[in-house]
Amino acid sequence: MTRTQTHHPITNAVVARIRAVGRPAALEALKGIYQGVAPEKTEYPFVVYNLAAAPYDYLFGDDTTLIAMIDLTVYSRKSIEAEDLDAALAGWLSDQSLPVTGQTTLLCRRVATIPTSPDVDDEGNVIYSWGGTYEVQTDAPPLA
Amino acid sequence: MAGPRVVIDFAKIEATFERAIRRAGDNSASYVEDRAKHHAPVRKLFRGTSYRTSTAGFREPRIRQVRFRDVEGTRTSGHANSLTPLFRTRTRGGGRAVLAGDFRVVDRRTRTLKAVKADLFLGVRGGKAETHRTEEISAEDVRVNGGKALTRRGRYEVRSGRADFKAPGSRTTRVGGRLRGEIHVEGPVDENGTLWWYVVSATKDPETGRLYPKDQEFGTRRHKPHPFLRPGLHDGRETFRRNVRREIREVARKR
Repeated sequence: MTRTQTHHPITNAVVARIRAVGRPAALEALKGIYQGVAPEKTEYPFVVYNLAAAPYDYLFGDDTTLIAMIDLTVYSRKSIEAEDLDAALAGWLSDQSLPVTGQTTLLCRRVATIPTSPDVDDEGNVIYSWGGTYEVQTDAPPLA
Repeated sequence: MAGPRVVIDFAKIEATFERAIRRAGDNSASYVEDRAKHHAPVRKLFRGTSYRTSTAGFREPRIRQVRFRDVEGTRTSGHANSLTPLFRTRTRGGGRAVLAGDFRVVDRRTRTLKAVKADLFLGVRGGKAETHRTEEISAEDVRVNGGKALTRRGRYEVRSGRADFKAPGSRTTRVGGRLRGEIHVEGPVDENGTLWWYVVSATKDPETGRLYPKDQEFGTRRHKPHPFLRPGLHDGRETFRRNVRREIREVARKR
């Protein structure tokens, strides 16, 4: 019996890519990467990622195309810093090779910018966020 | 050279296909709307959970929309003067459920909570709390009364007016299911020959004026994202292809 693959290796690959050695110098300023929401006391700037949509496209035969829409949002106390980091992430991820364990990457592309407005934290400081949605498509053979 | 003449009315063919595409688009947009409603996050305003089967055949939690005048604050407190909400049922004699204790009722006009001390709380009728001294009631009564009982979150939502929801064309204000209830389809809009259908969710927070669905879809600094529009859109991709295929096949069959 074969087992269908999941989107988990894709999010892993994206996070690994952001943390990879040799990343752009601008990304060195990031203090952390978190899933969904960052803890309250987290130091700025940081990135939050979230799997927004993850459909399966079943093809003829056993292979499946996995589509992952991943939101990456940069939070910073400085608007310019957030924007710069978002741009650096886009350059580092969009249309670049993304090795996904057990799957063949067909596409990794930024498809949208997330429109967000500034937020205010408990201390009254303004927090800026910039982000984008990345679409990753992989060819995923079933696991043996 | 004389011969049979064939006249092809391209304008008519184009119009026929456009109608077919519009039908396919309308159906697909409705499906995406339904799926977005399925994925939409729900605040638990009332006690208990029941399920329904959506038009698309998916099992999902039933959104209870209770008329505002029927809303009850039927939580008991465990001890006298305790602010800890605790819904209490107990079985006594013949397996019958009993509700008793201190209840809090939401005043519709002032949107404040007032305490009601009663052995049994039956509900609010005409803005007045109805109570009964008899302790024994049937399990069905517990189910019905409990069905409108607000949770702690629900009481806050009623006080702030955030969950008030008036369905399009309705004059009755209801509580609960506002985010889902306000998801709708707009279109088709013809933009330079391209037809667009929009599945819109534009619920605003009455206190801040902030677009609440946007915070749900993308998250905020303190709030984890709960995407519902984009997953709905992705769910509808295959349905759109299937609807277009079916409509075009139908047009070709009639020719």
